[in-house]
Amino acid sequence: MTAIRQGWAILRKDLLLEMRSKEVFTSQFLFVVMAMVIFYFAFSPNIKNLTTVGAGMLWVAITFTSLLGLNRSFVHEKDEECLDGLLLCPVDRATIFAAKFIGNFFFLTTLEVIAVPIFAFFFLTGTFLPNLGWFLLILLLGNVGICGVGTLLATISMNTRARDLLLPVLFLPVMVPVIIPMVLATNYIFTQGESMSELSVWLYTMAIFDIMYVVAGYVLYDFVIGD
Amino acid sequence: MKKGVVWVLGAISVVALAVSLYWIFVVLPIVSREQTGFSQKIFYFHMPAAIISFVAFMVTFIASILFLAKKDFKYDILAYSSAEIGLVFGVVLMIFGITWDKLAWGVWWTWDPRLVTYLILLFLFGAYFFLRSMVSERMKQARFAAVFGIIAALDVPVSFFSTRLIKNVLHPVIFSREGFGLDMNMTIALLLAFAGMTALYVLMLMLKLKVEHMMEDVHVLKDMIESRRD
Amino acid sequence: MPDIEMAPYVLAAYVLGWAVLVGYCVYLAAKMSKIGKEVDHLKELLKKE
Repeated sequence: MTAIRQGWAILRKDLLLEMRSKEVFTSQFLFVVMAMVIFYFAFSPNIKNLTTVGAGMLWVAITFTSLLGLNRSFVHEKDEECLDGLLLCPVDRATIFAAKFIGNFFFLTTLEVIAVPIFAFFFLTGTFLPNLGWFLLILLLGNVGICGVGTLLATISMNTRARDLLLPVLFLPVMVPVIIPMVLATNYIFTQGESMSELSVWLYTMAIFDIMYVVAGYVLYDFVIGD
Repeated sequence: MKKGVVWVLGAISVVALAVSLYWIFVVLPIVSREQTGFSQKIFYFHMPAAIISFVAFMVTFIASILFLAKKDFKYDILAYSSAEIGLVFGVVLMIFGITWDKLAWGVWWTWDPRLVTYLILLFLFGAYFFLRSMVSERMKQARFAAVFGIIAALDVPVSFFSTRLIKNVLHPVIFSREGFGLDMNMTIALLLAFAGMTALYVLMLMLKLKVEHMMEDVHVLKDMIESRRD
Repeated sequence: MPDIEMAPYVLAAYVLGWAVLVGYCVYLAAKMSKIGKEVDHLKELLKKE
């Protein structure tokens, strides 16, 4: 019970901070929209129907945008030495992970709630609408994977000499086993693949990696935070 | 480290690998066109190198867990030594692999699941060393590396089973439930190469561990001299 | 591709692959002798002081 209250306190602090400054959201939003604009000009001369490359565009934009948020979620802790204060509190390290993970998940989901409809408006014909539920599930699973392993790796990279420079190096290869099924499943939804069984394979793969990464983050967090 | 063991391991690897080379290029006939002809000879070194690199990364995985559990630096040294040797075997594997791709499929590289997952594995362990180089404090470096080593090694089973789990994989599966795609002579060649590579891996690991422990000695000695001078 | 044309590729792969393995062993041996000398040197220094 105390763990939940402590976790909520940390989460609430992050939410308040973001709601007041809106710095991360603004930059992420700008980044994701700019990425879409660039994608349009890169692909449209050669590809008639942009739905066929939509899955790749969407996840490249989201993955790189998420990097911005993950880095920020620890930069201000480090800069203002909040982390030391946090570690002095009688809080379980795993609770800090849970709070940070939920916070990152919330921010990324909020961004997607706005960015994905814009993306659909720009690039997609209505072909994904019958499978909207599956599409949302893919987004959800993707976010869990990104935030689960991202929270852990952002904490590691923030405590090294390279700081935020290190996160992409660690994060992107680790994410590949989630990103590939994510892109393939999304592509299936956008372009209407033949069989449902294909989609379920990708969903299972994502779910397995999500569970592994979140559990690994929860268990290993104790070793990466503080001295 | 026992000098005798090193010489025995060295002898085993040299003899086994030399005999396997003889077996591959002299004793074994060239397989038919359908079985990719002369290029099939790459397989006898390709597969042992692959298995050794997987084993090496799994050793890193286990040593990383042990380090986090016991906080003993000898496990950290084992973890990164094995990872480095895993990368060396990975490079060898890639040299054989892409050559075989070119001969059998006509291109140097295809986006086959096995190839992709293995490439990612190499990137992960490359990142492992980049991470190590970015932390100077010894304890923190070992802890971070152990955590990342555990996460990176999660890709090992993915890569290993990718040819079996995913359909439409180009990379051939040699050992399956249906049986064994090799005859007697081929098996001998493969086992010889495998024995030689295993001995080579153990030998490299022992040398590398020795080097790393000597490095630690250097640090200790330097500290001692430093403190005497004060 | 006929077998005779494949042969150079296969041999090149074997040579390169071996070069990497042997090269790594040589690198380890060289490093070992270098550090061995350093250890001896430091030990002597320690005795003198």
